[in-house]
Amino acid sequence: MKLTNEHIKGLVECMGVTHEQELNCNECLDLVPEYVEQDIQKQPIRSTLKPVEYHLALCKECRDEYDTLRELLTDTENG
Amino acid sequence: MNQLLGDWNKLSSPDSTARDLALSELRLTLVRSLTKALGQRAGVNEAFIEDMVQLSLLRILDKLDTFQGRSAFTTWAIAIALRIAMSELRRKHWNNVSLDELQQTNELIPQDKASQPSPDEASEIKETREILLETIHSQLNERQRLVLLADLNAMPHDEIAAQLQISRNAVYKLGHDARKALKRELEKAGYSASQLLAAFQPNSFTASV
Ligand SMILES: [Zn+2]
Repeated sequence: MKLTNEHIKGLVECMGVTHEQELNCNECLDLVPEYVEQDIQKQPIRSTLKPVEYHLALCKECRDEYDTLRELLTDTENG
Repeated sequence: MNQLLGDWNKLSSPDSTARDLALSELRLTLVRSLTKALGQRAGVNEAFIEDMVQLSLLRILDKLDTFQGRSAFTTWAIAIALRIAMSELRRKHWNNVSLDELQQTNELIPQDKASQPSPDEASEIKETREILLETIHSQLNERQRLVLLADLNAMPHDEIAAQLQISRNAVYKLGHDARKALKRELEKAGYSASQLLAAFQPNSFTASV
């Protein structure tokens, strides 16, 4: 498999959001309920929840689950 | 009883009638939520939702003591149910693709054969490709390489985890360690991610993918 320019760009984008310490998927899930409520209510995200943002930028599975949860709760809130 | 559960504290009540009532209310909430969120997706039917709700209830009851009241209880419970159901859906979709096959047909080719830059390719991109390939082959272990390869092929971590018989957390850690190694080597060469991404802008070079 050749590393195409698209692959390289994707990897470099990942480097840009790679941190020395990151949450794993379970640690992210533990904080997601609090994060999603703040996000929906457009409250400023508490600094202790920043790592959730970093994880969601990198982990497509957690991102997908988060987007689905957010959409569901937004719909529910709007009736 | 966990007082943080508020109205849901009957889930941990010693009174079995009260507990069963709370449990059936939670079950209904999860069925409605999963149906609304995932009902239109391929492979989702009533039986699938039932199975996922059952698994979710067990997980939720098992974790009840860890609920800290930092969100509504239902938000916490639905997040857990979505994790379980969506992981299963991804696995259903991918379980005919084996990691071994992926590895055999897609081994990242060695650096010397991979570098075929177009004449007008930005020098940063050419060098980045060389650094990445060199690091992938010399510094990553087999499992880290495998996760990176699976990531490049968009294979979900749930499926990698199942095939390697490790947890999704462990897969994430393999990927994280791989990314850190790649980032470290690029930084050693004096490159930052933002500088390299600028080199990918359309005006900076002509793509030859
Ligand atoms: Zn994750």
